[in-house]
Amino acid sequence: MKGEAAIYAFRVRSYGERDLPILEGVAPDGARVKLYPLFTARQQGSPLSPDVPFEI
Amino acid sequence: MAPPKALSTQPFVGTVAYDALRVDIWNKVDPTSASFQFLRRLLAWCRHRTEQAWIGVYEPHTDPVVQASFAIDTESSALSTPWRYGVTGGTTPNMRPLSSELWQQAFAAAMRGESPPTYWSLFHDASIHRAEYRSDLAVLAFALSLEVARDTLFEKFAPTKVRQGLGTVLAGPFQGTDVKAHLSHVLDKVRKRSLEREEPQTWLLIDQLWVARHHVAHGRPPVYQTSKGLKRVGDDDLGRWYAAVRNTLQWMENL
Repeated sequence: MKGEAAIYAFRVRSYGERDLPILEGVAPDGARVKLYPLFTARQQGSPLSPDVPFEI
Repeated sequence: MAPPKALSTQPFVGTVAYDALRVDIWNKVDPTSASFQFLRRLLAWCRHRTEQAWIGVYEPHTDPVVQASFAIDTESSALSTPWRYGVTGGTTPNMRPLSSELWQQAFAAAMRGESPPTYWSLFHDASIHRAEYRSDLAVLAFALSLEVARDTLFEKFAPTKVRQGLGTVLAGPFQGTDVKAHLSHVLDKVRKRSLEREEPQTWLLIDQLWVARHHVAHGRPPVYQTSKGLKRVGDDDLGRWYAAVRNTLQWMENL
């Protein structure tokens, strides 16, 4: 069964605790979802810094 | 002049500053859309629960959140080369290139200090919401464009009154919120024109839109009545309503 993965990135950072867990579940419509922990692609810079690298 | 300094990534709260995540999804006909909609809900909840109001706020056109998307197997291993896209909306038969004539018209209008009518801006906003799979907001924006168009365009023939601080506003029989009545039998009495009579196909679609608008405006999901019961508003509906609202706005401009 094929699925699709998507990597999303946000210019403005959110703040949280370390080591968020991987979460998996099945929605009422049968969709299976696997949510990976938030991570930090840009270690420094502002929302105006260059794009998050394509090769994450 | 020195270049802007990088802002600190020191968290305001917590211990880590995050800016990316990955979502895998299976068992969906349109996984790209489903993943994006899941992300939107997820971020809305993260925003609400953390009270970090900026979470999930971004410009879909200029600052797409999608960095890479690719097919995966059941073990989440990649099956295809990642691709990247932004959310810019679909094409419509009405789209046209920016010609020299339009370019010059835009320049002249901007120089005169003019902006396009608000009801057209709301209509275009609806297309953006549609592209983002925000059918609830698209429904509201489509409906609001018609309401603002009524308030703006009917002034040239309808009774008006002056309200202090607001200027001229519509008076009876066009005051109130019953836009469907204002576009049909009320307008017929005043102007001998009726969208219901002159554009019956468009009228049926506007009627569907108005049911959905009613539900969304009262905190319910975007649904409308069909012969088989309530139907959740889909992209096909929004496409039909796009054409109907556009047609109605142009019709109202020519009353």
